[in-house]
Amino acid sequence: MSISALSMLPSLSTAAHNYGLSSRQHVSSSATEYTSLPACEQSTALTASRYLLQHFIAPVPGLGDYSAGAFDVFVRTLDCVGKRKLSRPLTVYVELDGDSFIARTREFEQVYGVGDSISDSLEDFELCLLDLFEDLSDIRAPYSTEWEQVRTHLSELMGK
Amino acid sequence: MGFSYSSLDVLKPCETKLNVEFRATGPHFTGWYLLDGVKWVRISVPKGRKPIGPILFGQMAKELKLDKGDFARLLDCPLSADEYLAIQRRIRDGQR
Repeated sequence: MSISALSMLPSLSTAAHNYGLSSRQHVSSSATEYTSLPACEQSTALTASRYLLQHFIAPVPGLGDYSAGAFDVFVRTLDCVGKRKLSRPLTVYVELDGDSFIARTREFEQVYGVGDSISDSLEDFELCLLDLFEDLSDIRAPYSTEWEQVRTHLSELMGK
Repeated sequence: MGFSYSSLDVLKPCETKLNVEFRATGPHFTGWYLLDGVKWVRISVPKGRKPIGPILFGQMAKELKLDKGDFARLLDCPLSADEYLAIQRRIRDGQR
């Protein structure tokens, strides 16, 4: 799907809003960063998971004609993490953050991945999710209620 | 705020003030802050020396259950370990 085609989907802007992305999180970027989009689509070797990449365009008041040359968030749906198949798809979104990219999910706000590219940040995210899963298996010290809930939720996602 | 910090700037105060013991075996440096013996906060710090971006800065503040202002104070030194403990106890007791 081309950038121009994506920019004509108003529902994507609504979805971005539903992710809790406020306008202050939107960052401007040059048109050259669009070139990263096809590269990401091609990096299916990153995992065996289904690769769903979308481009959200949302006009931001005060930033001029934002839709002309900026991206807000890339979204990818993971079906598996590493070699582990997830019990349901996990939606991860990637944003430009200073000189890096940051990948996060609404389901586990405690986890993030960073990297110099979108692919790197997604790869880091997957490793961090697995790391958290392993970390929470250590029961030498008690966890707060919040972390007990994260462990239960993560175990359910990981199919345990 | 947050643009001039690096991972090292986060690791050091967490270790010295909050007694967080980081492990380096995972993709990030990760460690737990224990509140009255309970694993309360998990902080994850990327490896590398790149400046921390504004979103990551907010993410780390959230992990430590601090607002961005207090997180900056933690990194810049004015926020003491006792003050941090008091904030966390307030949050915990507010949840009950």
